[in-house]
Amino acid sequence: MKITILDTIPGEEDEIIIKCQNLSEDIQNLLQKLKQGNTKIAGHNENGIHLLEPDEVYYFETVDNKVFACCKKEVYEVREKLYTFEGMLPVESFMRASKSAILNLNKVKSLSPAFGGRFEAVLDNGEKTIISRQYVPVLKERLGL
Amino acid sequence: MAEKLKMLMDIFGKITFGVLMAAAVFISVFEGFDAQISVKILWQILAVSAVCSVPVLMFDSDASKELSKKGMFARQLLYFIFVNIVVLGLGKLFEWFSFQNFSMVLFMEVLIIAVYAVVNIICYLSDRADAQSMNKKLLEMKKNKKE
Repeated sequence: MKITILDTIPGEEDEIIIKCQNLSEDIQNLLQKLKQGNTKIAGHNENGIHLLEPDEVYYFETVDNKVFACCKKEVYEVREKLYTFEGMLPVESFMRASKSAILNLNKVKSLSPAFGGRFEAVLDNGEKTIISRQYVPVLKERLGL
Repeated sequence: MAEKLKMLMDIFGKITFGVLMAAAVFISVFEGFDAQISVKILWQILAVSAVCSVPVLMFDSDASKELSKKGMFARQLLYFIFVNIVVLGLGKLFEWFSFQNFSMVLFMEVLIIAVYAVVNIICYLSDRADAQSMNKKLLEMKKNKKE
């Protein structure tokens, strides 16, 4: 891929133009990153504040009106509301799993039926989380089914 | 709302199929293959299926916290008790059997368990097939990311 960087004239706004035949997945990922900037999530625990990369988080969950970012072993409380993460997080990796959780699809090891049209996702760290019936069609679409 | 209606119709179809099969077996066993039956039985089957279908909506919970597998299992158990009460209650009302005839009640109970099991097995197999295709796609997705 050819990369061209041009100088702007004083006062001109910075601009990125992408010339391509079609929007490949790589270009879409790049666009996503450009739009999001370097998104980091401030997670709080007893040791203080930690800046988390979105991909470190296995899932976000609301418990008693508090939102938690659950990583491989650690759990951090985050100040944002769950719905705000939907616009912030990379859409190719994260999806709503239920009213109280957003799941990182990259961390899902396997899925199994969980009664009533729901599915249970087993994550890479062994934790389990439920994908509610209403979000199963979204998951299937994400997986190209 | 449309999603809930679709879910209701889906389960209603499966339950109706099960109840119809159970009714065919029950009538054949107790009345014989040449039994004359009233058209009313068709409406009664639809009524029993409809009443048994409605509580399935409670599985599509609006609660903020999703039930665990154990929680859902407990709910299924409650639903099974509900189905028993409905089928035995409506069965008595529609005069399908008499509580004085123990063998009829026992056979009806066996059929309730059979229909319940068949409907759940059909749902489970369909979900398991979905899970298998999703797991396959998940693997492909992870493989592509690594490359």
